[in-house]
Amino acid sequence: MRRHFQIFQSDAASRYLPWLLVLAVFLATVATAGLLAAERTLVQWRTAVPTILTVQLPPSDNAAQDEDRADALVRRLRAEPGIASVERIPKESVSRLLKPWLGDDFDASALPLPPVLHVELQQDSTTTADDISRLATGVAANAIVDNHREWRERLVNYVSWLRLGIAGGLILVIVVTGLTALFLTLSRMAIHHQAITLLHQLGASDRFVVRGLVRQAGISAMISAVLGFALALGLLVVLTAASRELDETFLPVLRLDALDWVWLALVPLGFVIFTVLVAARTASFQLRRMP
Amino acid sequence: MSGMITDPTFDAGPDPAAPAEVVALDNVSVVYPGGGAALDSVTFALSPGSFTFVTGGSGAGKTTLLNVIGFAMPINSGRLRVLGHDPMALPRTERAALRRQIGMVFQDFRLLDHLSVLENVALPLRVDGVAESKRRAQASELLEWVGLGDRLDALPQTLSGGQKQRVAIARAVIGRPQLLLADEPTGSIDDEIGMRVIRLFQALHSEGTTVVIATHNNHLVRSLQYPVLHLAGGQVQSIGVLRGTEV
Repeated sequence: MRRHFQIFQSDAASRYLPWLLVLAVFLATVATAGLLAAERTLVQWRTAVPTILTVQLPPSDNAAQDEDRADALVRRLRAEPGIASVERIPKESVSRLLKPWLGDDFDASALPLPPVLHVELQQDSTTTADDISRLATGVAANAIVDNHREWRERLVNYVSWLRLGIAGGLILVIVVTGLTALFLTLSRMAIHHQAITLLHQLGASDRFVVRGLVRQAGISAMISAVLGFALALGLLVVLTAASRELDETFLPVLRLDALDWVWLALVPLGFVIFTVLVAARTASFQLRRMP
Repeated sequence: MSGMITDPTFDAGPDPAAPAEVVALDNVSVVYPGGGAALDSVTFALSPGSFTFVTGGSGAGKTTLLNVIGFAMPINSGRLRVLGHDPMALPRTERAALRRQIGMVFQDFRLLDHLSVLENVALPLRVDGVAESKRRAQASELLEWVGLGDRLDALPQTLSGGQKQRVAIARAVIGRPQLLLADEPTGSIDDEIGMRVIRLFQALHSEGTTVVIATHNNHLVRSLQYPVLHLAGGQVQSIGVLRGTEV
């Protein structure tokens, strides 16, 4: 006699669930990683970006005068309280920024490139973009202060909505998985109705019957969850490697720390527990309707 | 039913609250979903350790009566007590425990096709949490006794009707139930095996098990001289011991 023979025979319904779970865990893991990345990006943007401004001094016919004005503005800004740093962005860097539009062959020295300053405010600074603008126009009347706050707010809004969308998708995956577990359990109970009735008649408790129905589903759910998680990890590793080349100050970078991995590892575990609980509760509820 | 005499083991007016009765039905009726009475105001009681035949033609209500006693089927009206309890008033776990004291032989055997003969017979012990080695030993012994010692690992679909019936009987008695309900237990088996099965039931009966057998086999009923409850149209027609030569 096999030590733990299956009370309920394998059936088409029970063979379908593992494949659904592979897909569900894959999607849920990727979605959770997306949520964590979106959250991290939002935190970065809400803290780091608001303190950064760019000041441009439009070039005149007199390049030497432009340079003097830029140096004077740097000195003026450095003397201002609440400003953490002021740096001239080297012409080479500005040229490099233009390279995608102008190609490799252009001569940057032949172009009237504006002096550009990178200004970073202190985190607790009360200095505003308007203050910087006033100071800049005092030195060079046509100075342009590029306040990152406006486009940052739009990006924050966009990522917030994106995060909601991912969370909605995640909830949808959970709901679909739950409903599938529920209906598959009902199908299995219909398929095995005669065996369930017999077990009841032999004096099996509802718990015994539920265990018989759910045990095999639980084992295959665990295998499926591990497979789905492994596939998702493969994709995340590729995306993480690809995103390393991005500037993480401005773009959502997929980089996961130890706590994030703990959260991700909970996804397959959570799905297994959730699926088994839904199946068990459904079976218990149905059994209570029997004499 | 001619030749019937009243037997004192049957109470004319049962008191369902009395724990001395293994089974007590008081005006129990069961109605088919489409209408029509499967059992109509059935009243009787069985004393502990009694051995009773339930007879009647096809559609008389024998199987329904056994299902009601085994609370496999709800009643529409009346009162039912089994082994001192109203089964439907018990919490589900206690109802399941009560069922474990009842052995049932179904007319259609109800064997699980994917389990071996041994596993089918051992199923009640597994349900009861008996250790694997012990249930294997008990199931093997019982199967040996019903002449299926060489078919322990066979699957039910490879068995004849009679063999399946013996497996079903072995499964019903393996837990040494307090109450044994058997629906046509000798219907598909030859006389020799049939008598062995009856002797098995008698052995259980001698140890105190209350036995109720629904049967068409008048020869068997007459030869054993146990009390008979005769049904017709879902009603109890007579209660007593069949002594005559006609039914």
